[in-house]
Amino acid sequence: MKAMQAMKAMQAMQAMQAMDALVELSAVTKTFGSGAGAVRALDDVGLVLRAGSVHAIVGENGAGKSTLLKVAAGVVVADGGRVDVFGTPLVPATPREAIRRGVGMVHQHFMLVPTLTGLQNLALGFEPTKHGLLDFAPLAAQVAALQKELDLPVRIDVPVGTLSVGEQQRLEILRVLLRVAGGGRGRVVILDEPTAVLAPSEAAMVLELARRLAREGAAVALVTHRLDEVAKFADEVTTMRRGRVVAHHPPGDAAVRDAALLAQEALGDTGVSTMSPPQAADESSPVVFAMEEVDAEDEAAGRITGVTLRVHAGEIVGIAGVEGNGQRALELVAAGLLRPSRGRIELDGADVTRMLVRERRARGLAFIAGDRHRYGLAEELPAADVIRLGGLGEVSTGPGASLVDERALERAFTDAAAAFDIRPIDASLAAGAFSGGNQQKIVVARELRTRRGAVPRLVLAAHPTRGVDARVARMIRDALTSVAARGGGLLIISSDLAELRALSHRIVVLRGGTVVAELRADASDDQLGAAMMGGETGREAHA
Amino acid sequence: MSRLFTLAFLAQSLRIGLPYLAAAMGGIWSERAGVVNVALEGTMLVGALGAVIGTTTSGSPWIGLLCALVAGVVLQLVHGLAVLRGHANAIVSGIAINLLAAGGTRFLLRSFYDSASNSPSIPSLVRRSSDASGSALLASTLLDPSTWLVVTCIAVTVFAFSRTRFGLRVLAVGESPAAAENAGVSIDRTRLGAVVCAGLCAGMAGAWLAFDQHQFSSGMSGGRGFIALAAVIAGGWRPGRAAFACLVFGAAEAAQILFQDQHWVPHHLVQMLPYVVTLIALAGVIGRSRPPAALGRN
Repeated sequence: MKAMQAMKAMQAMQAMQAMDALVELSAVTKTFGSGAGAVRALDDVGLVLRAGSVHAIVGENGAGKSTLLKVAAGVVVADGGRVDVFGTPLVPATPREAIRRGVGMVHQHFMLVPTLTGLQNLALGFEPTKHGLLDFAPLAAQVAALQKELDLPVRIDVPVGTLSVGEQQRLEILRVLLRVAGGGRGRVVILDEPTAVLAPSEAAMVLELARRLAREGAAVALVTHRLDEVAKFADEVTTMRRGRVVAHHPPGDAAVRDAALLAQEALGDTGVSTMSPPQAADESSPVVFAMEEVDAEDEAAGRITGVTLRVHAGEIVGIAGVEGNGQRALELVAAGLLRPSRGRIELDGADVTRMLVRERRARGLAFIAGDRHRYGLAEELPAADVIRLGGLGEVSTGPGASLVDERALERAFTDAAAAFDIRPIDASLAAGAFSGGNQQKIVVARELRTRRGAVPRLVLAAHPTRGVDARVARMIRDALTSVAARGGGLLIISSDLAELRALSHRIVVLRGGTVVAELRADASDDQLGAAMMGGETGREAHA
Repeated sequence: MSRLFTLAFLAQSLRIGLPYLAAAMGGIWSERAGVVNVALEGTMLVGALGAVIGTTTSGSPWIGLLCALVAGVVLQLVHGLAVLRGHANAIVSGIAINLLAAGGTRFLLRSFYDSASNSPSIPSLVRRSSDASGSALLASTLLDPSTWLVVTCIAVTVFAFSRTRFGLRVLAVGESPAAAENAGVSIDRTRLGAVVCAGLCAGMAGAWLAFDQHQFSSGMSGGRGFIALAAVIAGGWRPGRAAFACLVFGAAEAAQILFQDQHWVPHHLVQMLPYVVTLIALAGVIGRSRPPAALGRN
């Protein structure tokens, strides 16, 4: 009996080895920083990427997923352990060498030069020349062929900064495929949270592509927070928690399709996020925020035309739409960062159309910006300062509250850290040094705080849970709903339809910068899709 | 007023504008790569002295020109290495280089020519006619090889940015170093290359000054490097627009020289002319400019 089992195990082992291990990491460690503030990002971690397999890496924010894959791609140099690519160590451990060997990574933050065209970006670093001069023609032909083969629509003749997020990502993927396609040895494509910033149809496009690449013999690594994506698209799964591998499920393991189990592994015993539909809002309650026939335009943020909407006290209004249909302009106009060319904006009964952000904040606006790095945080400042950015008066003493009370400031941070589980609890650490999810928690904690016992009149939140893990996302959603329960109004812009549906009382759909539909939260996917895409049904529209 | 529309005025405008133009191209190379360059002023000065020393010791102004370019490159490399390898602040390094150039040239002037103020006179690349008519002035400016070398500076700059691998990498490194590095481009090497180009251009500008005045005089760059830098910024870091700004400034300065002996306007107002005209022209024609995103970050 035992011999039989051993035989089976041997056979399984051999089968595993027969699947070509293109990248093999073993006993990898990595520590960021030094001394007391040192963070152990990877602690004795192993990972194998095999040809023909989509390998999902899941875990909380800060679990070390991105760092691990950056080690595989030569972007981060490990402190210890082995990195083998096609059987030989990755030396030197640089992105260039990794690319040369056939390992390419699409980063969470796109690595594109916004002022150069798509084609120039694709060429950069490996520029094709003829007689010493740039010669883009053969590259353009190669790109066109690849685009056709993989059905990846991207404009490559305009500056990258003018492309939508989805297009930029497809450009990144194109680049990786162009670079690592050589030699016919198979290739390794690493996707770091590829779907975090995409609309559902674009996300599906990317994931389908990942599957197709694997079918053609590539090894695909996929970092994601969306466990439903894992269940649907991955062949094998590695779960990580706090810098360590918790579990590895090889291809064929039923756990790969079990989102609930994976969530439990990734999160420990804290349970799975469940979204409950909201209570109906009281339509007779006063309007806290209103936009009337607002037009606004901005080169980078896009355009809105004739937008009219209302948010009542205690009501959550969701803004849905395909990325790039005016959501950014709407966000900036509502926040006071973009001046409308026409129309009227009211906050808590007062005309704030011409008011600055500061004046609007004084009237009870809270703003969780979609672009956290630009509007949400001062990354170089210590977290304690950031936790009261724009509200230092609340922790100041002395004549005219002119002196900041450092101790009160630190207390404000530790309180927020306790409430939102911000890690590490280090008030002196630069805000930018926290992981993405913890940065978002800092912003949310600051914006949703009560001021002199009062909740914000209006919370404007753009993509509040983008790129954060399920547990943090739930924490943020709970905080948002509790504001509504206490009488604040919320305007939430999100590309995550499931989230909008779970949170909102009403969903307003933007298309081409105008409001095309206003739906109840229980509207069907097809109804929403049709409104967003402008077709008969969402499915047809994006096919 | 009619004196503005003469060949002599055109020649004078070019003569004044061309050194700005060469230095501005230097500024564009460096700043498009992300290295702030206030060292253009000192580089011009060193280039001018290089041209004079090279010419007097070898007897050939062409050797002098070569010395000017080498001196410019060396000084800019010092700047580049201080900023990129030594992680010095680029403005501080630039100021230090300007002070070094001012003191160093004075020191060399004294040790080579035993003079505190100026060098003996040197010949130009080609002999100029002594005819002072407008057409002769314009002809001699247009036939001067140094004019064409300056034109080459701008032509090569424009061409390099659009058609060469190095130019593309410079643009990428100045705009988004992380993206460039991720694509396999070496940031430091690209920036050092750009700084060498800046040295060539600013050295050329200095040589122009020396050949134009047939000598070196202490502090002869006279703030031209800073004006060139202003032209770079006002021209939105684009070669064509910066060149235009330099030529406008040259014309305005030529006009100021024309009008300064007229007694119907106070000469202080006349002296402001180049700056006022340039400001208005640039504000009106060019509008707002956006610097390379990674300028000054390393």
